[in-house]
Order: sequence, then C-alpha cells, then structure tokens
Amino acid sequence: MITSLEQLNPRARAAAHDWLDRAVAAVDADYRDAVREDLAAYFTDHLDASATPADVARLAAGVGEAQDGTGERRRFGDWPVDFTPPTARKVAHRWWNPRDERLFVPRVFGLGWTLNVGAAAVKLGLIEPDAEDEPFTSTPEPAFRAALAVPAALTAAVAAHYLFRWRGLPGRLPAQLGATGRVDGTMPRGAAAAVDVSVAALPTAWAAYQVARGTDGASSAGAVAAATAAAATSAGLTLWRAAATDGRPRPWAGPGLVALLWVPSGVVLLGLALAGRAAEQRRDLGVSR
Amino acid sequence: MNKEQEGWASQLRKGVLELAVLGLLAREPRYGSQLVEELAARPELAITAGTVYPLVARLAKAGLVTSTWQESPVGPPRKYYTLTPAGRDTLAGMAGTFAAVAAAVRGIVEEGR
Repeated sequence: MITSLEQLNPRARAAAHDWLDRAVAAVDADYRDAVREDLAAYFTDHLDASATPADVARLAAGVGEAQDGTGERRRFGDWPVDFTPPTARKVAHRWWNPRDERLFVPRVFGLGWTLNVGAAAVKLGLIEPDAEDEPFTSTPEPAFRAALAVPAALTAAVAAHYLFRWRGLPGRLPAQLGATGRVDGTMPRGAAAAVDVSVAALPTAWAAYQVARGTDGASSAGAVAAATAAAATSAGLTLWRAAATDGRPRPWAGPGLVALLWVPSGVVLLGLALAGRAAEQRRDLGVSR
Repeated sequence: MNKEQEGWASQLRKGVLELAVLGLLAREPRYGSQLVEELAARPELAITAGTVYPLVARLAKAGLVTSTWQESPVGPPRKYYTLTPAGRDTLAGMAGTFAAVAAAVRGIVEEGR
C-alpha cells in the first residue's frame, strides 16, 4: 500500500492519473474532485510503489467507469443531494478546498450546501489558493496530534462540567431553543449529559483513531475538523443548558451555536494547512519556517 | 452575443485554457496569481482564479507541470510552476492540433463567405 499516487514510478503514476481523469470526465463538476479523490484512494490502498502501468490497468478494469447521475449524487430542483458515504477524506475536501472560489459547496451528506472554509480563508487573505500541492498531504504528523488536542480538550471540558456541577444542576435541563432564544423544551439532566458528552467524545475518539492510523493527511484533517465541530457545538450546548435554566431568552444562543460549528473547525483546518505549507517551504527552500 | 453563441464561446475557452496555461509556463516559471493576472489581462479568455488554480493542480497531477516554493525579492516566498519535459511535449502536440484545427475551420468559414 502507498499513501499517495506520487509514490508510484512515473509511468504507473501517469497511467493512474490518465485513467482517473477519463473516469471522472463525465461527473458533475461539483463532485468531480471528490469522486477523483475517492478513486485515487482506492488506487493507493491497492497498489505499492513497484506497481507497473499494467497493474494500474488491471486495477482500473476492476473499478469500472465512474458514472454521474446513476448513484445518489443528484440535484433536487436547484439543491444538490449527496448520499454517498460521508468519509473523513470527503469532509476535508468539502470543508477545505481553497482552489475552489465557491463559499458554499454541496454538503458532505444529505441535501443542501456547506461552507467551504478554504475559500473563506483565501478571501480573508489568510492563505493562498495553492498553498499546498494537495491539501494536508505535507502536513507533518505532530500537527495532526496537536490539532486533536482541540476536540479532546472540549470533550474533557464538557465531561468536567457535568462531573463537577452535577449536584448544582436542576433535574431537567433546557433541550430546545426557540426562534427568539427562549427555551422551548426540557429533558432530564442525565439525558442531557449523555447527549452532550457523546456528541463530543464519539467523534473525537474516531478522529484519534484516524490520526493514529495515519492513512493519509486528508482523512486525518477531515476527522479532526469534524470532531472539533461536534465537540465545540456540544460545549456550546452545555453552556447554554446551564445558562438558560433561569428561563430568560438568549438571542445569542442560535448564532453562537452556528459560529461554534464553523469557527473552531475552520481554525483547525487553517492551522493544518499552514503547517502543510510550512513543510513544503522547508522542503523546497531548505530553511526553518 | 446570443445565448447560443455565449455557450459556444464558453466551451471554446474551456478547450483552449490548458493550452494557454502551458504556453505561458513555456516562456518562464510563473507563480499562481501571476498566471491569473496574465490570463485575466486577455479579456477574450474570460479567466478567473477559480478556473486557473484547479487547472494548474490537474496539470501538476498529470505530471505536466511541477511546483516549487521560491524566495521572492519582495514579500513572502511564492510557489512557482514550471513545465516538465512531458508538459513541453504536450504543449507542442496541443499547439500543433490547435493550429491545424484553426486553419481548417478558418478555411471552411472563409469558403462560405
């Protein structure tokens, strides 16, 4: 197994890229890069560095042609729909694609759009569209472990909140947020704690597994970003539940939760991309940056 | 320009963009925003950064261009793109095909006048 097609010898690499280009040529532009990446991942999983163009052709024959419109990648009116499995690699590609100018791209899973944080970072002048040859491919391993500390710390904070404040919390906690910021429903304290801790801990454990596996940078980055989004949202919900027990409306709660969904994970993705850029610069310029 | 013409012109531009990028890089290595500016300076190509960067990435994946960070005399380092030998061969082939197709189409159009 190899981690990137670039590890193939030049002839096998050219054969693989040529097949991938042809395979996805008919795919809707919105999904072309994501499909290409998934197919490339299949190649890297099944080829080793000594593979020949004939090996590539044999593997490609087993894959068949990637077709658009035959699976779940469709449009519902003007809305994009994607029911292909939401992999970590796909999360990274949709949430961080600085070469794509569009701020809103099809969701990782389901109906509608999601924010392309990479495009937002380029528009804010935080990074160049081509800062990395391939997003997160050059990002060093320690950067992923450091990034993992963000969802891990948020998860620990949520767990610590319920552990240490348990006795001081009322038996029922706010569960639903109304349009005006008022509490619109409650749930038992134990259920609220279980939901908040699980929403933070499970994606974080999955991200830790992905980083430990070290299959490829995009998968690690996507998993850490998704875990950060989940853990930050869970931490926000925990704070809101604790604060809203007094029954007063909190109009900031809705916008605050949306910001928690995107800002921490966006910062994590930006940090990982900057680490990748720095690694490329060290490689090419031979200086410590 | 009517809708039919606009669609046709858009397809034509898409078709020649790869050739235009390879042609620019054949003269000398260029960095991303430089490529975008030079192509955008030719309004008939109607190019934006959102078109150029994905295209250059695809050319790099195909082994036709390579990218390297280089120090800049003004400002931070920049990522420069250079044609590979395979890129030069592809450019020569594309340029030949483009010239032949253009000549054939021009001949047909002029005959019809």
